[in-house]
Amino acid sequence: MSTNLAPPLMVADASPSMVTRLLPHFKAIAISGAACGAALILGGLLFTVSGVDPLAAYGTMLEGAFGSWFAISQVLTRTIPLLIIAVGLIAVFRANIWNIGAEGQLLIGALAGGFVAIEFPIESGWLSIPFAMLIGAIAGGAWGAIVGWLRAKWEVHEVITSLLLNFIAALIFSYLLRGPLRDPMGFLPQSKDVPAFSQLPSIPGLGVNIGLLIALALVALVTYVLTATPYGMKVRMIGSSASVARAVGVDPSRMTIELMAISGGLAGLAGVLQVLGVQYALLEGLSPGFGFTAIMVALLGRLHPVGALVAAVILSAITAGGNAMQIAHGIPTSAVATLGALLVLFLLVSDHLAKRARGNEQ
Amino acid sequence: MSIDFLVPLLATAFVLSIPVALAAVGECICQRTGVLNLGVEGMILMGALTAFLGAFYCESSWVGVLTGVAGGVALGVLMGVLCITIKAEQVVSGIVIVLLSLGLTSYLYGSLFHVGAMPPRIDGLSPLHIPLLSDMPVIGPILFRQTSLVYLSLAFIALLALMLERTSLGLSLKAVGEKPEAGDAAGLSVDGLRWLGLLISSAMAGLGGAVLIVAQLHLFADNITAGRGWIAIALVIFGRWKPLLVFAGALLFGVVDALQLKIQVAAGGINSAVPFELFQALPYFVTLAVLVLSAIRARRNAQPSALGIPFLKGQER
Repeated sequence: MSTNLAPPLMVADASPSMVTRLLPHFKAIAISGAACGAALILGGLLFTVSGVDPLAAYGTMLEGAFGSWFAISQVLTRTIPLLIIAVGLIAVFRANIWNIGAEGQLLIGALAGGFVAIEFPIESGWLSIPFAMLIGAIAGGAWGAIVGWLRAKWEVHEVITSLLLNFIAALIFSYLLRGPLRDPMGFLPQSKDVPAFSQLPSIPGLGVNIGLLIALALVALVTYVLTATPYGMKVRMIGSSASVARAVGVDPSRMTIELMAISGGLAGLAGVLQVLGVQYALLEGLSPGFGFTAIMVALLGRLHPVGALVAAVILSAITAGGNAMQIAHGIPTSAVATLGALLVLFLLVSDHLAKRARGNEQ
Repeated sequence: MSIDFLVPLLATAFVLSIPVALAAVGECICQRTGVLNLGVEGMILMGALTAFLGAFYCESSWVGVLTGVAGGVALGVLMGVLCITIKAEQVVSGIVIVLLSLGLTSYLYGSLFHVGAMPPRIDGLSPLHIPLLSDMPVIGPILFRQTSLVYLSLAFIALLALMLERTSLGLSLKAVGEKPEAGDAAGLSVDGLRWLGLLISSAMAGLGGAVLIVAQLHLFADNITAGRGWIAIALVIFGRWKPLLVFAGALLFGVVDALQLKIQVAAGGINSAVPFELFQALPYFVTLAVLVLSAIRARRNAQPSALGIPFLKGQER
């Protein structure tokens, strides 16, 4: 059973013209657009529950997201973790492995990477930053690989294990912050600050940390690997049929563990970047649910990294706008999570309608 | 261990297990029809919120119970439209339902109550003392001093188990989960029976949310279900898709949960030398361990063969 969200497998040796090749993409974008519209209308109805005029709310939202250079840089900063996690999720989702444990993988990565950056400072950003990123990615990857290993070895359902591990990761995180890692001088339970030389520099003129470049590079890399290399083909293959994969010499068990490690590693990396580039310390609320929002990003991006790029910007903009709406209209920030979920929901429905329309054409 | 320790522990365990038990037995029936309802966490959460709202605004716990069930069913209908009517992937549908519920419950609660330091509370149900039985030593305090809602829940669980294992309806439900094509050929409505399974599951999840609020906590907070739905799904696997075994698993979960609460308090709560997070993590650890152990023992042999696969009439899968 292959997922109906991913674009269909391209036949390798057919070389259709540019237009026919891009047509499904345009269609996909049009459908996504319609779904967005429907979700926004329903979201607007929700705002009226709070007693707020929906148009005014959306106005504030746009203003809060794109009204100033500062707002835009905030949106882009928030895009970084969403995008990095989402490209990892896209890889596993395409293989029909449903990792919903990115939130926990992010926290474990942030803990490990943040720990080395704070407690074992190497006085050179050129060394300390990549080192912290590496440690964070390894830790997050290991946390994710547990899920992959359990599924590969005993067919334990990855959705449940990855979710249970989220709770355990969150408890480890808050314990360490409250106890061993806590800055004794601080008032709130949070770690000491990341030393200045290990803080991520900003991209000149943009006010966004260089994590954005890493995220964009990952989009390009994962797009290439998934669409243009045999590895991408293997991923699809174990997603659609393990027996076919085995027949052509692909080991689904190994791939499952590998993909979960990659996905967890990227979530861990996102966590480190959040510590080194945004919060400059380990603290509660390090991730306002990035791991869950990234699931929506991956699904809205139709399991394509470039689609995820667009979806990540949209969802970050909604979040930034959501904060503005809270300040201006007192709308709870959870409106954002609701809107995001409605978007995915309508995407699923519109997909079905599109499929039916295609059926009628034939 | 003394009786003085054990009796209150088991009494707590019994109450704590009910919401999970309801959700798990409902989920079990749903999975037997071939629908993997991963949205159950969202349905309990929505049931908890709507139960709280019903009980708060109508000042009646029993209205809360009804609205709780309705809240669960509302998400069940949505899930059914996604994964049965339009044949969207079941896993994706379930995840979307959970994400939607997490956002929506928090949003609605936040916009209706603007919560300050003191969250609003409802009166909730008070325990019944069943004459004679409740005075029995040991068993009395554990089993016969619970709220009437707990007994109602037990009745539902028993009825559902009986329905699945002993009636022709139960047989039909199981048939479409094992061999939907054959069921269809024999004149059963595969999608109809799956709808029934999903609606039962969502109603039980909503009821579980209502029990959590009306019989136990008497207040609502964001993500108050804290993973009970996922634990319920794990229990279905642990119970090998047999309602009574699943129920037994839920009771076991209740004991673990009650135990961790007791140890937390005994160890000195937030000031204890042993981190309380360790105890809080215990139910998740145990669930994970149980899940892995049942998987090692059985692989997925016991699961309905068509679990998770949408039924497309006239199409080979």
